[in-house]
Amino acid sequence: MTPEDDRCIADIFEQAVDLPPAERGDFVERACGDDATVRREVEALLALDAEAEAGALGVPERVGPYRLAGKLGEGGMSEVFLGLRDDGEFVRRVAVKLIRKEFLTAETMRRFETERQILASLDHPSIARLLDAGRTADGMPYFVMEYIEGEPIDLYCDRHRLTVAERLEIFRQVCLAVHFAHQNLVVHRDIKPGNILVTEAGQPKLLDFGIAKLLNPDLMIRGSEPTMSWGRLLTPEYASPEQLLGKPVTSASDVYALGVLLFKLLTGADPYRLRERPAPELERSILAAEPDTPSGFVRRLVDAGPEEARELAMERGTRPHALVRAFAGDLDAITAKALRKEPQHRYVSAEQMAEDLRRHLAGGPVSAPYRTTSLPTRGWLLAGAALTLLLLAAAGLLARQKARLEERDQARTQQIVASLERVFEEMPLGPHSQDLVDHASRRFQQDLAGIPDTQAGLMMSLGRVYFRMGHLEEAASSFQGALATRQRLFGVEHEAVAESLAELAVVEATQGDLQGAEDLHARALAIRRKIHPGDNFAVTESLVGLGRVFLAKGHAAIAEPLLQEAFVTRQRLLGEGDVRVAEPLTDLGHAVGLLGSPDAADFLFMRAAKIQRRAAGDETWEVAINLVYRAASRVDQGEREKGREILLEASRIERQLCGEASPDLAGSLLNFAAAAQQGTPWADPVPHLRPAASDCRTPPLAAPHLPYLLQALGTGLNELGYAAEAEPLLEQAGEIRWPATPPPPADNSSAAGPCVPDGGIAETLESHCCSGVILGGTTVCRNPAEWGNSWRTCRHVCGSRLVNGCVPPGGVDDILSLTNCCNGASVNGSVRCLNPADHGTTWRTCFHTCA
Amino acid sequence: MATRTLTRLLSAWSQGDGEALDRLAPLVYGKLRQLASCYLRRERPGHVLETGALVNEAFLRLFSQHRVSWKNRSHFFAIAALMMRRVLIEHARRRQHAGRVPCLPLEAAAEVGLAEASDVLALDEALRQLSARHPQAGKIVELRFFGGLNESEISEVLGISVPTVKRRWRFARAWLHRYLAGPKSS
Repeated sequence: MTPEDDRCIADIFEQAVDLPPAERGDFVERACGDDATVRREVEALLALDAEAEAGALGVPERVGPYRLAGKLGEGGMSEVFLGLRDDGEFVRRVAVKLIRKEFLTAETMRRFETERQILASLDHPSIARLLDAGRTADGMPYFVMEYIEGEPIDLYCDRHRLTVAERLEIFRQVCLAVHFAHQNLVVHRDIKPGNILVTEAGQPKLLDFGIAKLLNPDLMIRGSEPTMSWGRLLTPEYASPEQLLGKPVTSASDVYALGVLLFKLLTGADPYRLRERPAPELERSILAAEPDTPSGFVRRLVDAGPEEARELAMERGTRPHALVRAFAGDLDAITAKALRKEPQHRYVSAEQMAEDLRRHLAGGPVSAPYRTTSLPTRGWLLAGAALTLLLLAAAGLLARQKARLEERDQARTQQIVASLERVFEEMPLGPHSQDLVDHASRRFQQDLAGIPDTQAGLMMSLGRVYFRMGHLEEAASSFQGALATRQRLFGVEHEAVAESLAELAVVEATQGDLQGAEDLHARALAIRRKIHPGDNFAVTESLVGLGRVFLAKGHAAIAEPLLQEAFVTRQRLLGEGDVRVAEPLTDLGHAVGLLGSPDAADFLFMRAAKIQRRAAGDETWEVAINLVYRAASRVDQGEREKGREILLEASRIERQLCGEASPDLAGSLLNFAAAAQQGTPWADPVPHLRPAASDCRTPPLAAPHLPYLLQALGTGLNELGYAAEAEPLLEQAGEIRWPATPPPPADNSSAAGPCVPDGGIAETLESHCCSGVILGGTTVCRNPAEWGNSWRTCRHVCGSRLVNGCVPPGGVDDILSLTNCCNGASVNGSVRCLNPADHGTTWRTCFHTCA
Repeated sequence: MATRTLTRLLSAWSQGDGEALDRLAPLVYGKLRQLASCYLRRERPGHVLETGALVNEAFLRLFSQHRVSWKNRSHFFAIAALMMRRVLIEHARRRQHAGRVPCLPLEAAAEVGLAEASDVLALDEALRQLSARHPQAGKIVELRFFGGLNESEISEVLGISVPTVKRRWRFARAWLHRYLAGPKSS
């Protein structure tokens, strides 16, 4: 056959199929003339086409006693038709569901049968009822359901201009229907407006159990049931975090979808769109971002589009401000509870949700916890502050360490050793410090091998000096040496061992290895808990250390109880006025702030500052730090002017303490810059940043903090448009932090190099970020896969806080493929891990995959 | 890579910048392969492979849905269809070497009664033959089978009207039926 023939065949075929079948024969005959090959080919193709068309439309005219009249809808592998049953007296209308012929496989039959069984078990006024089932003449299974003449719930509510109370009443009925299904061990898994029709009489009806699942206890335990049918795409707006992660889906997932639906009925929007920041990828938001609150949404809408807000309110028979008032409080709390990321924190049942709504309608108290305001959308200032705080742990530890050593007074030798330790620890740093300490380190290792206890103690001191000089590698190896010696001498369960672990943890945290730091702190904590039953200060130190690591990792929910315990214990041990009580209090402020209570955080910061003021006077560094945090939390709350005032006060103190070019001052100023970036026209901070920046570039000033500071300054300058000045600072920070940046591990599946950033999953979910450092909420990343530009800021992406984490080595894709994967922390000796797929809250053991 | 960059590349490609495709393709390919292998590991008899779902998934992962215009979205799916085809063929070849059944049937193929083309390699060969004679018909099948594009999306990508897409699709479908069922001669 020639190419010419091929073209001819295609042409004639395409013209022929446009004609009514009866006319095709003549047309083909005419068009092909005497070319028998072409004609034979076209006729064969037309015949095959007719067959295929019939197959595609191949629906029987009758199914059982029902005459099929038109398609109502199709989904996945089945179709729903309107069925008519003529009884002679009246015509009964039903919905007939059929498997599409081409999908008639054992698997689809099984699913179809499951759906039929599910429907048969659910006899409820708000659930479309199963009427009949059977097989067609040619053996296709079908079932017959009540035909619902109605419209999707959201459209119904809007078209009828239902008030908020009326909407809630209908929604409550949906909750009860869903609860009824759950009681019958059925999870719907696809609750959305399109699957809830409301009849003209106002009766909601839950439809389409096509991907519903029978809750089989065995399957739940094995967790192996594929929860997301590839047979259809999830409706992403209504998918719960666990559904997106492919985790077992339970009734809690339906509760989540009900939360989304409630939000939609109240506001006409879904909880993750129309936020202040640029619309993030929906899936990422569902997994990571805090949902909006109905009142917050309307309030913003009033600002952004008053016209739209008026319309929204009108559809609900009221005015915008009344709508905000109606939502604030109970309804915000109820939606928030249903939309919790962790299934176990949602309503235990849809019925409870309905009950809370009933109480709200009746004016009684609801069970959902209130939040004072909506969650801050930008936790980044606080998150950045948390990391800074972690870095400062070093200084505090050193001071307390000395105090503890002074208390030891057992023998003269120890007095001498203690004195020697102090010599090192208090040694002013100068050009020859390094030589001196290196020399001492060698001497101690040679000369004191016979008294390993003393040797270890001195190595700890040297480690602290190294740390102070910013030589983190040397500090770590000194602490490790001491740790090994002490373990050999005392076994595992000894305070000296715990102490070495704790200090090593601080070094690792400073080096940016949060996971390592977490493990070490957790080990120290386990030891200390065991050897110091009851209230003990060392235990609280470990609690604070571990809490800070979790804060830095963004796991505020885990940090909070640890810090709470540290605070309460210290208060009992030392009394409220002791300055050491202020320390966990500040951290607790962070945790609470990150968890969405900025006002409580502010209160805690203030309380901490008050203690510090009383103990050490107004102008101390700790006071200044607490002020900076308060300012950050105010700015996050949108109270920029207040934040500015507090920051000014902080930088005044810092300036007094440290002088004009102090790095800490630069830190506060950076926060200015960040706040300015958010739109408040404050004084240009750059003149201040510049000298501070140049000063910072000469080590060993503030050595352990240096890379973070450089990063912060560089980012600040960059954001303010001084890219040229930012570049060298950022480069230098990168060099200090990653002295010999190893080539990124080869990603065998993508041209873009992988980069699992420090902050973990939040960044990983967004494919482009980044091997970054977070400070002041900004992440600067150096992504080798980036085309063209090497450094970039991605605050929105990386700076967002995320209450889950635990990224496996391969990043988020591993999470999706290995449901059990984890990056575990050692707690109480056994490997337990925080699994992101469990949404960050479940501690569970998973030896298999972690090992 | 930033969504912004991806989106820009996508627009550049839809406006005829061939270089943009060179830069996009490896990314899309990588993501698809990741997703596909994840799915194919779990395959079970009786399943069909829903390429459209996979491509959609890849899209969701690479882009912020709301910032990509519908046109660009179609173009993404067009690239993805091409890549999906490569991913599946590669997978099928590997399996064939291992002496196993090459691959899952494609949902889209099953839908038009081409379930007998359960062998991706056979389908690929048929598609190659079709494309050699009727390039646009071949493209339509690729977009539909491997990318899950619908008629209006195909019309957008190929710059032809929807009725033309429909007619040409019917031709391609009949042609494939004939090729796969009948003698393999011309």
